[in-house]
Amino acid sequence: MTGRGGGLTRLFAVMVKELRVVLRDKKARTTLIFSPVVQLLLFGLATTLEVRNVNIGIVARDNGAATQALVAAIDASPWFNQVKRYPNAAALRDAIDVQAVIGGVLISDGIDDRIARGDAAELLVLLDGRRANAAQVVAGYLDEIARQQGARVAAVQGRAPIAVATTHWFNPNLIYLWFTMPSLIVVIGAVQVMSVSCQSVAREREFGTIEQLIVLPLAPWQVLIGKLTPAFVVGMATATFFVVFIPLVYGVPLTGSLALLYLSLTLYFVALAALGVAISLLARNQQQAFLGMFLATIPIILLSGYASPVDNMPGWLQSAAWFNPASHILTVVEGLFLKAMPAAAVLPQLGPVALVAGAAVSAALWLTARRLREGG
Amino acid sequence: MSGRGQRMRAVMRKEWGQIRRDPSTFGIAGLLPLLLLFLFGYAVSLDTAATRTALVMQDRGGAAQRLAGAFAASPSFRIEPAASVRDARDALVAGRLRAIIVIPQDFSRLAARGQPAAVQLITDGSVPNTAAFADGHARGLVRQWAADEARERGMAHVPPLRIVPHYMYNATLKSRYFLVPGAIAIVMAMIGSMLTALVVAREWERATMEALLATRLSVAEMIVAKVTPYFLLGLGSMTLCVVVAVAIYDLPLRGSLLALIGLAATFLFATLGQGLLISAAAKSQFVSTQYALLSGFLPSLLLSGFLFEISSMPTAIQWLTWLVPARYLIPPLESLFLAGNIWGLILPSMAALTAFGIFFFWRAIKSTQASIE
Repeated sequence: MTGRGGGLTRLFAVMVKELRVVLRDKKARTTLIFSPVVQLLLFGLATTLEVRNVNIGIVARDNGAATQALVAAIDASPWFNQVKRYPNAAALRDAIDVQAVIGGVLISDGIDDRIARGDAAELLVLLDGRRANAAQVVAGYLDEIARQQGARVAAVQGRAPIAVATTHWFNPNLIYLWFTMPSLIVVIGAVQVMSVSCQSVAREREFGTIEQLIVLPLAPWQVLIGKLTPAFVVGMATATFFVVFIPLVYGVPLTGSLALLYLSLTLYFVALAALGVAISLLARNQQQAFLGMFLATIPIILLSGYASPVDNMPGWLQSAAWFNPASHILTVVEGLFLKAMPAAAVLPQLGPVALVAGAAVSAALWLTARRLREGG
Repeated sequence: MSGRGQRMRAVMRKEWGQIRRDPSTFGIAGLLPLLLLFLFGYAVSLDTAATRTALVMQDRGGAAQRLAGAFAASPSFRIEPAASVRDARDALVAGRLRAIIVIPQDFSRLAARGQPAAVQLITDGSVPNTAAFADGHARGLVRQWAADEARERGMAHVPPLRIVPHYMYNATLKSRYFLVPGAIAIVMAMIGSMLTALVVAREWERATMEALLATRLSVAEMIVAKVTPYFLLGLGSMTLCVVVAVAIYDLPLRGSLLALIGLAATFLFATLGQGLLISAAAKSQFVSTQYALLSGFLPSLLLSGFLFEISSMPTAIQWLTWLVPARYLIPPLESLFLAGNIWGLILPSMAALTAFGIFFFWRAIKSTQASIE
């Protein structure tokens, strides 16, 4: 009885000691707290898929009514900042080359006559393919303007149109932040947990303090739990900060069960912390541990579905993404924030995460035992 | 004078020996760029795949069947039949489906009479990008389908005014064409600041910096000697990136190599300086990497115009982007790959990067001097 109690006290003492090691250094403590705050703001303000305030060029030689109406419509559009006139296509190309404008509309001569005759007219639009994404969005804006202008000058005859009535569930206005913000828990959480756990043993090894650990009367699992503690605590604290501030600051709805959210995050952070400790046990110094951290963290983030949907990846990478805990946790966190995802949908996602967590903990435990046996 | 040159060469040799002893430095300069380029080449794709979509047919008429056929044949949708919206809803919540299309009850009857009819599209708004694409593709598909139906009845109708877009330098709109140059910029920003941040912080951490400074070199000479091997290593990883981009990802390289090297060198000058400044401020490897992530990697990813349009950001953030070196690298780098030597972009960028480099090195030298006094 006392022996077991002593074991638990000792375990608790190790956990507290490990946490202190990480939080002792004032600069380290500050960055661990400062970095999620900065990222919350930066991601919140910078990540937008809208294309606004871009400059656009116009080349128009004749100045008929249709041309004027078109130029006025482009001018009045809320998406463009400056509408610049160029004398010819070559000048427009030069402006696109140095990215003074993202593209330009070439209004050909005689377009007024064509429209007046009731013929269909086309507008050539040059766009900067180096910024392919933004250019496509701008092409969409211009297409809409052209259609509206066309409809105004020539009443459409014939059949009534067949329309598409779209409803976006869970995020009616398709606010991109509602997607970005919950994913930050998964992405920033991973970065924080990995950067703490990957350093856990490597730093001691570099400073030669690992021997102290070996002489302590601790079982490998106790040492491992001690090493997992700081990363886990930092991850949970970061996640909690986000869970509180994302609805508060950015108004993202949190509709699902908090218990399910924390259950999922617990599994996720245990898996990552164990992976990080394993990397740390394999590294000979801090620099190697950093390299290991990046080599693990970058695929975890980029294969999660945060940067682009897993569906867009080639099939073999989608299979690899199945083993990535972040891809399942991303689905769960998005679901629990926006979709009130029920347990029946959450739990199947947690299966693979538990599998990875089990494997990572086993590997870390085996490496810890080996290290304790063989010494620093 | 020559004694000083000799001593600088000795520091460089010592640094190079240290690099060679620990393979992880080559890992940072070689493995990390390869991994990032691989992921940006294959895993990150903005070319949307087929949206997993449920189709609920409340109408079995001829027009409804034909429209359902058009959806099933479209490469933009992967259609699964569903009995009701309620059935499909669970799959949407679980993330197995991303959209539901409902063809309502009297669709065929209304369409045959030429009365307004509507197809209902429900998307999973929790993935806004996919939802917006599904919406756009559904509209395009229905518009095209309606035009085809009208043509068959001899009621062809062409919109009076439409645009014909031509995308310069990337006519087929491959997202790889801008993702790969952007990824190279991020890689360079990361390893540039990371390499020096780690290396110099290690000297502080192990208190060997004082020993180095006890040599008869001035702080500036010592820093230059120490950074030179990493500068060469950085140029090496840039070369590696360019080779991968051209040989594996089939990117054209339309600009001159000389311009590319000049641009890479000035960018490295700026980011190595940034790394030095970070390590002088942090003095521990852990804090250094955190700073390097926060001031190097993240701003390069978010504030460089690589993924998100700078002009759409709030004004204060737009000002902040001027302080991100990667912002100056990405446009000329993209141009060197896709367009050619556009000096109007290259020269101002190189001037700005040089100014950054001078500032960072100057601050790093100052703060190192302050630390040892």
